[in-house]
Amino acid sequence: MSIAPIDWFILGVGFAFFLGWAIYLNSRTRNVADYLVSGRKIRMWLGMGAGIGGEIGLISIAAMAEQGYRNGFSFVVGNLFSLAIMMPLFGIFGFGIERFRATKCVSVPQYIEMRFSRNLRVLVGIVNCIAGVLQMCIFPIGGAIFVRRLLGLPDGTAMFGTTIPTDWILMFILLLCPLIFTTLGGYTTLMVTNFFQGILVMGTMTWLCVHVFSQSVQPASFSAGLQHVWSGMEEKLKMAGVNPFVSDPNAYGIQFFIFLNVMTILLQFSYGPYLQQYASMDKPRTVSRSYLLSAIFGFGRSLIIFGIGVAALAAMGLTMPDAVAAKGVTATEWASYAAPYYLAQIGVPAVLMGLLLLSLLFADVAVTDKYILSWSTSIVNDCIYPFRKREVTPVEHIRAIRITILVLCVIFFIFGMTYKPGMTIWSFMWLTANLIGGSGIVVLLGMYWRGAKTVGAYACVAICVLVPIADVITRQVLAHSGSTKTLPWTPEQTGLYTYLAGAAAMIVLSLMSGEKSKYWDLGQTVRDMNNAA
Amino acid sequence: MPLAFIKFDETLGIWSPLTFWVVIVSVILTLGFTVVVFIGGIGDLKFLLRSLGSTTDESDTEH
Repeated sequence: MSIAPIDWFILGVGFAFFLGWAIYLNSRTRNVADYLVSGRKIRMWLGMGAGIGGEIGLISIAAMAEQGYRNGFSFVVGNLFSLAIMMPLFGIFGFGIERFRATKCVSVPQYIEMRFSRNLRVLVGIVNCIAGVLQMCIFPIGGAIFVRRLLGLPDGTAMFGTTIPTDWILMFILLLCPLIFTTLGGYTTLMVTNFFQGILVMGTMTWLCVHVFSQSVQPASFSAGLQHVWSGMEEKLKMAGVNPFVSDPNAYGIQFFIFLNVMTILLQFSYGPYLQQYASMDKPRTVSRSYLLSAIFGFGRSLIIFGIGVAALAAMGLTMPDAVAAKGVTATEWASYAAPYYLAQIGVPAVLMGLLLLSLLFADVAVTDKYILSWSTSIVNDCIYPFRKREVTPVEHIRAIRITILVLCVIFFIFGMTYKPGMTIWSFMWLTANLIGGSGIVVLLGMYWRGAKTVGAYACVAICVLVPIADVITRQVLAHSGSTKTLPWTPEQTGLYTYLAGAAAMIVLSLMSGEKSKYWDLGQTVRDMNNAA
Repeated sequence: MPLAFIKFDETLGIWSPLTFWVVIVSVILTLGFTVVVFIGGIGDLKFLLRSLGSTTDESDTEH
């Protein structure tokens, strides 16, 4: 696909706009609080806008387009059930998230030390960091592959007298940019640039979706294209395209949605990037209101991206073209290949292409920044500093986080050099998130149940770590061996039963323990903070 | 408006039209909300810029 001069101009001006904000905010960042949680000065609308930008990463775009291609819009009905549960739970009652905000902790391990023990804090800190880093490993390589396919770039590029995989070059760009932006101002920069990025990506993806639908028919027409795409999805997937619970091997199934809901609940008070965002808000009620509005008004942005995958499905069907199969692309990889391949086939007009490249680049920056800053903070605070005897200065603190960010970028690059898809992008991300869900169970029971004890928490964390890791490793081994075999259960089933086993272990062992509980009632604190000016 | 005449596969029962209209309504809500967030966010951005570097509750970051 060609990139016109106007597209390069848009990319350049856009990059300068974001960089300008980053440099300016860097000059205004005075202390650790500003660097890590924006000094808790993020009000609701800015937080929501930044949340939009921070949730639509390049990897998310690739993953949602993949899901739209594989399953049509069947996710919609399942999500309606999820909304019916999540909206009141978090958006109205602020379940868990308001109490966590009331602890004034900036991380899960910090809370765990207060509620359980220091040693458990260190273990959870290490586990969560490993899980977060493992999950992030797919971000740059997944994004690079998507962009390479979108632009129709060759697998290898001649550089320095040799042929380098193009994905490595794109990964380098996708890691360098977040590195620049996190260095310049930390979380404050992230919130502001994510705010603008959220608006940009929404506008661009909407335009792209309209373009893709319109181009699915000749002459181009959005309404005729909409009918064509919808009918094409119905024809290719039948009931599986609209009903997630139909008895079909390709359908999501009820277990998938149970896992998704349980994971969503647990990650609200265990997943570092979410908690850091909540910690940056001015009071607990802002957290729940922010969630409520996001839940009601946020689903559509995913559907716009799903629509691009669905359009690819309607046009090409589920069968991989021979030209693609000849390149050695496996059936598992094809689902993630389809949407960018289709976009490359129909072409993207000038100006939209420039905005698309800018959106994709800063979608990567937005999410990578948010996650890498969160995990780097956690690594420094929870895996390194607990072992230090000397207090550190704020300058040393920020320097340590920046060095950690750099090291993580190197790790992600090395991972991307060897990664081979053994499951869908979503499955990889959720299975690795499973490792963190164990601490979510610990935090949840810790905040609401006086009887939660340390020994139970240890058991829960151990189960939620060992089982998903074994699953991921096994699938990677099978993928690298070129075998067509796969495990007889889905990654989501692994995740769901792991959570159940972990929770059961925590409850049983806590009841058996004679340890004195360090529980304190956070309910009153929530009320006091919400009533404060 | 052609949208009102979108045809659905009748063998899929209510699932297809239900999904379709949920998609359309969700997208419209999201796009409208994005505009509202942008306008509100500009105001919050001004507040943030005014308050950056000022005294903050450092106890919130003790660990």
